[in-house]
Amino acid sequence: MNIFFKVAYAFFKTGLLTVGGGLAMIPIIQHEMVSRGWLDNQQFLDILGIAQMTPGPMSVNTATFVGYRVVGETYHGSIVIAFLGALVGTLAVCAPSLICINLLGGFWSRNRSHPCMTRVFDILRPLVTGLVITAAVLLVLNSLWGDSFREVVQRLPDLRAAGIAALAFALTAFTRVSPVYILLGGAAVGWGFYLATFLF
Amino acid sequence: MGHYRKELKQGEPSAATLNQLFLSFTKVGAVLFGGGYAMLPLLENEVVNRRGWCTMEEMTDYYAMAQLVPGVVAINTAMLIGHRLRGFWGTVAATLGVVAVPFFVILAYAVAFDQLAGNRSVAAAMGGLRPAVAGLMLGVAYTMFDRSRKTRLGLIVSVLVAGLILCGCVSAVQAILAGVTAGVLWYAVFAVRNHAVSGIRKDE
Repeated sequence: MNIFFKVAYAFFKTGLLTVGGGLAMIPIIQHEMVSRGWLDNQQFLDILGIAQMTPGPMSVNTATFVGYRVVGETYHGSIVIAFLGALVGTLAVCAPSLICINLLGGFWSRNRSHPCMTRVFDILRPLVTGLVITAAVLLVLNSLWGDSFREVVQRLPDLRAAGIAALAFALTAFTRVSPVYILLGGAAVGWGFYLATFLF
Repeated sequence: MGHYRKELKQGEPSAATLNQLFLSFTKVGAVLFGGGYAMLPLLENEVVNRRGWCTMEEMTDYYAMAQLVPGVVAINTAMLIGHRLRGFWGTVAATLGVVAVPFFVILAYAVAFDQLAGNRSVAAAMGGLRPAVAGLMLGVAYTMFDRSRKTRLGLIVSVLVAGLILCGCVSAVQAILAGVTAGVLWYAVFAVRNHAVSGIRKDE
């Protein structure tokens, strides 16, 4: 029973500390997992890799995965109990949001037109644009050149990836094609390239 | 992107049932690769264009709020929208939707870890998915920048923030806090000036 409380506490804390999202989450999660001995550094890197390959927010996915593993190890052989561990972890990481949003939501709706709010959001709106530009640029560099940015100047980008990215960009910016289809299409093309290697 | 299927007045959500909320967010969560930032185009497509539950401007406001509030950004965003439409139960429905598909995918991974991780078909598909996410994000950035650059403030702030973060001078969290502070100070200056002006008028 004790392990469930530990999982709940750990992931509640994780959820609470992830302000600002994105890459800032990674060291926080790493610290919480490694300091408890639930993951070693290599396993944490593996999880980062898994998070790239599965849908969903990274913190939530980590909570699900680690909740399953940690409870599963304590209660050997019972998948059902491990499943409960995953559930507890997932709910715990969402709980801080639940509390904050429900407390703040009403305040925000009522005060949305207050001149202070409008000033703040007049600045925040283009600020978010800046954040999105940053994320997009980093993603493009990462997917075309990989993790060593120093090689950007020296190496050619992966041309197939560049083609997919360019097509996805064009479809998003200039057409109304749903992003769902764009993403699934990208995965399909990637798989297609792989299959093609068997033909030639 | 950015063409509305339904004309929407700001602040008037069209009716949303809890079921609809859950289903829409399940669709979003199911293809949410690439973390919180990748959520924006998916939300625009589903919540703004398809359902007409809010305008794109409101959506970016929710997204900005979600960064300020403690908690996972993607979950915060879902909850803000859910709360706006259906209060507390809206937050529950939206969140359950977002985590539904990822939860089971991760479970499958946890159970069958070794088989799935090394599978080459999966790796190949992911190899195509990542550049697609990158292109998608670039497309959204392009559309958003197109909107922001229409005002001088918007142009300066978006370029400045992007530049500062990309060169590593500022973190996203610092930028957001600075932005909020700047907004509050701007208002304060505005309010003090107005007060001073009306004070002078009273003396005359």
